[in-house]
Amino acid sequence: MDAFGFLLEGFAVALRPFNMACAFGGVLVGTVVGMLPGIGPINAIAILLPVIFVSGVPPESALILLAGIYYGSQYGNSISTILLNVPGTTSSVVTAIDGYALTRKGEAGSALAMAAIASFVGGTLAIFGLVLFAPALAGWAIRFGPAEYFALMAFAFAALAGLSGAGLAKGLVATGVGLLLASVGLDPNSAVPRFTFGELRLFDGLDFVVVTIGLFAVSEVLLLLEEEGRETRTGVAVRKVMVSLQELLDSAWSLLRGSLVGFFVGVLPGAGGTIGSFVAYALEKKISDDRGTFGKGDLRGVAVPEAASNSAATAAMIPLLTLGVPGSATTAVLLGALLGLNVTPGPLLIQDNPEVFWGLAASMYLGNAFLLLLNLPLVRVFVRVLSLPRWFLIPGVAGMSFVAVYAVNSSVFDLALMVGFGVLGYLLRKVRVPLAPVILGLVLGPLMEKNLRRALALSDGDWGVLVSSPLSAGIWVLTGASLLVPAGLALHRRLRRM
Amino acid sequence: MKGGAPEPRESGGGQGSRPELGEGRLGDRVAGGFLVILALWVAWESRSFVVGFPADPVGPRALPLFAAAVLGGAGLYTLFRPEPNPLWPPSHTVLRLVTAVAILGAYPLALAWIGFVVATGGAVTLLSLLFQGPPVRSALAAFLFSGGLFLLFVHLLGVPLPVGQLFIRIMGW
Repeated sequence: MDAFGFLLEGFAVALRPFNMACAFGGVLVGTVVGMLPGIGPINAIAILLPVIFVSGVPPESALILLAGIYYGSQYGNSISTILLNVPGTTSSVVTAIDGYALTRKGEAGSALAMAAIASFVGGTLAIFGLVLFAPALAGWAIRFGPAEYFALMAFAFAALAGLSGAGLAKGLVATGVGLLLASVGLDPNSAVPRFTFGELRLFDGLDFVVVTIGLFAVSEVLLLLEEEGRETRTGVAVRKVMVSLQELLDSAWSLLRGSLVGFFVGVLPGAGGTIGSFVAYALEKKISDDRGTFGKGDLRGVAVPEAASNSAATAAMIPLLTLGVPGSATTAVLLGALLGLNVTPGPLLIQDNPEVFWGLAASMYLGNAFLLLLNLPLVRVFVRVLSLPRWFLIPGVAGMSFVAVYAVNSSVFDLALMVGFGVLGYLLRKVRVPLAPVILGLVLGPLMEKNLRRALALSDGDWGVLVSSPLSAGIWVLTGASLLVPAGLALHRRLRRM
Repeated sequence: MKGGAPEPRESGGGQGSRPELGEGRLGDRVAGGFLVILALWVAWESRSFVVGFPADPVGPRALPLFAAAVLGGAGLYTLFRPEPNPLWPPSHTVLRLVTAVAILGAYPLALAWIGFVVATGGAVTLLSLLFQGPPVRSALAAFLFSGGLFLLFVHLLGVPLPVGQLFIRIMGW
């Protein structure tokens, strides 16, 4: 059966009423949390996970829901970016340039409509890419041995640390913290306790839901509390949310180019939506900014980064699903979710769990269509959610974090850990250490260790095995480049300043 | 970030950037020093993680030693090449942050005693007040919220949440 036939079977899964409800619920939750301060897709997924685990939802439905939150949040993100000039994630920073300029010109409605359409185009085109490339990549990756996996994971760490935008040293600090957290507990091979301080409740290791909610949600509560009293928020009236056919036609090529750039950047670990949207915007400005309107409220300046970041978000699912190697914090949380649902992403996923992979791919078409329908006519309803007061919203996030963390193991100890990680997350963010590599380290650390030890066991302790195949050697070269290029650029800047 | 783009709000992922920057680098120095000490401690602790299987040549110490090397290297760099940190909050804000952490930290201690509904309602109310919420409406919203979560988790999802020793004793349940 070819990809098309499998995709039809995927639609049979995705069109089951319960799964459609999951896709709809996911994108709805995603839109809202992507828009609001203090929540974001990572917290939403981490908070929902314990609920999903206890409710016994089948894995494909759970993944449809969680992925819906993931790509739906990209749409929601553009709403607060365009209206309030408050990008929720780094990937929509570029959208703010032209998007907010349009809002100030009173054209928020067309900017929002263009963002929704661009997100739809980027997301949908990238699913074609996913359906085409994922099975091929999986077929190729099936020959990967432990040495190749180890190299691949090292590459994911290097790329994320090098490209996170906070500087290589800070990215590496975050990676080290994540790997250290991953080693807490009984070593799975030898049952040697590591960093447990004799505490039995640490023998199973740190639960990644507890750590994630602490690092992200609790630290966000603290950061927002710190900001409290300094916010300046102005209501924006949004009139008709629509673009004309002419405007759409004018942006058609921009949409396509943005989607394409986003896709190829998004497949790479670490890069994702942020770099995809920056590169696509810069490229588009070179190609089509003939009248110098970019940056002053050009609809194409909204179309391009939104198409790119949504395309990149979907493309980032490819390494997650086919290699089991996520390249960003949110996909790392999705990996943790999959492992918790007893679905092991990797080259065998498409063979062993076709209903999960193809059902997910098909559901993403539906989800993007839902998002377009939700975002064009209903955007004015969402905008009202933006004016919810913080005293109502942020403590509510804390309350949901409590119940989610407690539900993981019914453990008060976990709640205390969550608070501790919240303080740690706050301090890390104050010294500009990015949190994404911490989560990646926590989730990938055990897998990386397992592959390293397996590779060395097979080679009787000969470290040469790690670079013995051309493929792993090639990945190590890429890994070195991801570390050295940002370091070299930083050195160059430093020298120029002197 | 170029082009006059605002700093991201960062509700998950991305760098910890806040718009206002101070020139203080003390945070980086302290963090760097702390990381170096942490790395040394991790490396020291890892000595004892030994197993003698020939089938597992590196054993359980590989991952922590690798983490220690990364932390130590990056920590040294941060110690000697600190970057400007965002401004640390003024003292009245620090007081509010400490209060918030105290509320969050008291929650697990109180949970078993006063039960989920009261503990969550109380903690959420106090946090709302910290965010300058109107008192009556904060409490109303918080207790409706915690009661709703209790019903959802206990009755719909079958997750037992603590009712509270106090109420069990008073009511003789």
